[in-house]
Amino acid sequence: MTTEDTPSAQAEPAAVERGLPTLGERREVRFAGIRIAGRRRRPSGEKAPLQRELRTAGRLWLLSSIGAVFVWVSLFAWPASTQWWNDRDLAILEVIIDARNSTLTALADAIVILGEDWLLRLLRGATLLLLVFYRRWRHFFAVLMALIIVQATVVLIATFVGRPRPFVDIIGEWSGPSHPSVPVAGLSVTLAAMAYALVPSGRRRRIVLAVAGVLVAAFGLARLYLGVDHPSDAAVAAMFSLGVTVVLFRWFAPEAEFPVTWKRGVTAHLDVTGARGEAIRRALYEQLGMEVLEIKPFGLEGSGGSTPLRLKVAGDPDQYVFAKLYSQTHLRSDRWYKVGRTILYGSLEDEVRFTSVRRLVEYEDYIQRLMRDAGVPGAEPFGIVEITPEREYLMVSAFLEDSEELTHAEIDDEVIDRALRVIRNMWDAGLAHRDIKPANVMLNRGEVVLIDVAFGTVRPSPWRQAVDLANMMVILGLRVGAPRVYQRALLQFAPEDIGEAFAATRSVTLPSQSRSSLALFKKEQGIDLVEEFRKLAPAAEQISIQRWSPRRIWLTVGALALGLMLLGQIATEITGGGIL
Amino acid sequence: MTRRMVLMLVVAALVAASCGNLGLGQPDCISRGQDVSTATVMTVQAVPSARYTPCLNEVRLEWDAINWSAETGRAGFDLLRRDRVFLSAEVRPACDPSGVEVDSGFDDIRRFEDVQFQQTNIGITIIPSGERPQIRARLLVEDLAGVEIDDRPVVFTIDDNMDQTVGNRVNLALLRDQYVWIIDELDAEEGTVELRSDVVGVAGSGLDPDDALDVIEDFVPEVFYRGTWYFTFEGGCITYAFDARGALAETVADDADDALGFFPAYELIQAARDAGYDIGE
Repeated sequence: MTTEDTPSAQAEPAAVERGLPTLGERREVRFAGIRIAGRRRRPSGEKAPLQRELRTAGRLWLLSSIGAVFVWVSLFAWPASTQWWNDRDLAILEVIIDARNSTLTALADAIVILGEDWLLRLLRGATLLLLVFYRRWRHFFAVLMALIIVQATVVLIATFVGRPRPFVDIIGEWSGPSHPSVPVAGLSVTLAAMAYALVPSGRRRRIVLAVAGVLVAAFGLARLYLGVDHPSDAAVAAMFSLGVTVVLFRWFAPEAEFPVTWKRGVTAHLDVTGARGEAIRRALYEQLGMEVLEIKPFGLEGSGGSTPLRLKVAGDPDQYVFAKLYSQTHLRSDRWYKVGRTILYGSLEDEVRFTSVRRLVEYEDYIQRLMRDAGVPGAEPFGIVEITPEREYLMVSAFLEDSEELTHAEIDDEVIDRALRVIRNMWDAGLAHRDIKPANVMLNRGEVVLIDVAFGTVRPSPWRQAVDLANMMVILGLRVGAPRVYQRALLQFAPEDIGEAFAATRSVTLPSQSRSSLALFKKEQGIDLVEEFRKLAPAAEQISIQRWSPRRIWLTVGALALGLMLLGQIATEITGGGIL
Repeated sequence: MTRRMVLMLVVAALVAASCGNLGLGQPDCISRGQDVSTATVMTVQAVPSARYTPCLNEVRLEWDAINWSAETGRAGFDLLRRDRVFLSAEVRPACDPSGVEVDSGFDDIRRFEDVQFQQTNIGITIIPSGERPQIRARLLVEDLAGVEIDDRPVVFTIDDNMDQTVGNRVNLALLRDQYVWIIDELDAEEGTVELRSDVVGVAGSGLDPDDALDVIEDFVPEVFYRGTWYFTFEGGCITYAFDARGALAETVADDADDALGFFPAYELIQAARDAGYDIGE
């Protein structure tokens, strides 16, 4: 972006009369109070922000890993280089061994405790448990992968190479072939993975990595002193393990996307400071022409499937817009959520997973616009913003500034009618929201507005439409009681529709926010609201929600098998085996 | 071959094993001049005090040597047949041998065997209580000659030592892990036997001999060879832990004797020392 592209550098561009879609570069309009200044198309070949890059340190470690492989080849492929390495190793060892004395031996014996199985197991186990506790799954799997890759590779290569222990007086404990040094690799990968997974980047991590380097060096030196490793065994093991760990973290859990934080929140929420924050600002400016002044997470507790944000953008005066950030993390969450639902209840309805983040946001944007077309009030959509192609997208819409949840608002018959009209309109248009809960039904300047339409569907099953109605009636009933809501509902729905809605209602069909509100209502007022509605409506046969299908059976068996394998692995880890 | 040449060959092999050859190889019982495998060198490094380490001669075709491992204070490997380990050989600095001492064939090695062996043959001792049962017993042995249970030959023995009571003769037979058929006058007349054994469920009186064999068939013990051989010598102890079943149990002892040997670790250590290397005491 050049200086002249920035809004501050532009010389009062003339407002254009045409609408937002025709707004091109270097033009400006005021739209709903928001100043929208020219958009910029990312030219072909220009990298999108938040690319996974190794950076200099990553490249260096990649080179060191390649160097380790070269040393392996040269160590054992050609007799001349083999002899050269062997002579150098023994020459160095002899110098070290000549310095042996009781004090140094005691010190070396103490240092090699760093490589003890129990200690490494403790460190690795504690790291993984911490990551599970803070639900930092990306780092959890990065640590696990680093451990598995390094351990499996060094053990395999040690067996393949089959180098004996040094031909010197060995005074330490050893096991198996010497090259590369499995204990040095084990300690290196453990400390490096801990530094990258547990310590926020910056000075603190650099200090921790430096300390780790000193510990690994001391450990390697102690093993040389005890005569159990050749110098090349220890050096190659350390280089390889650190290289693999750094490259793996840079590639699989890059700092820009997965920064180390110690907040125990919903895992799907992404950090929007740092590089991602900058990428969001730049993308909004380039793609929607909005100058973002402030980015704040908003209503995180009510959203697990995306990272909702409130953005302050430049305007006259400055305005707020609402944005939902979707990434592959959310895509995966959505997939797992659907797998979980299929296992628990069978295919209640469309549980087909999205194949990409792009498809996910395209679908939500489409449903949002379809709902508006059908007369279902919602937030004005401003468009989709691409942060990183195929990986991260932002959906931007108007911020409902003066709105409040229906359960907190003053409700009269008109509001009840409007709320029920929303459901009626969806029924008539062949739509379902599928997530009607207090947090998603807002009262905005007297109008009932539905938000968060991500779960919406076209031509839903009659069962799902019935559930939407019941859920809306429950929200209203929490404020004004069942009889009044029922009476108003009869103006737009047949008694049988209402009977069917509550025949379909179960604990699982009620969003968790509604369930807890119902429980509180029952506790405070002693009324079971759902039962009350059932008594008012004509009796209807209960609708089963358990649907069996080959997919459900397959997924259930798979989940059970996976669970058993996991239990077996935990038992193996506890009893001293396994990958830790 | 002069000592100098032997020394040079061993050192060359040692260097080759230490770096030039990829892979661990097997702890083979080599003759002088052959390459020493990394596995052999590391076995010696694991128990540097041991005068000998276990090694493999020519292993039978259907056997595999697997799971070689070495660490401070122990080294060893397993022998496998049809996906089942039946012998584990291991060297340690010392052990606590048990069982019976037998000749090792080496002056500087003592050998102990502590094993249990269930043979393939099924032994049945027939104990007649008098003259007529005695005749019946002989006829029965002639009739059942060559009979097998589960492809295992049944060997009949008649204990007609009338100086001993039937009870004593039964006890003696049971001590030898034999099944016992008692034939008294009534059995002799009716052509039946009384079956006794130490196996729970294998007993009965007035049984037709074929029925008695059927009863035994249901409870016939598996053939096995289990236990440990100990070889003790200066600075170390080699153990062979056996767990062989079926047909293998019949031959495993002889075959193990042929397949496994003793690598003279002291020679390798000395040769290395002469070359300026240190791989043991």
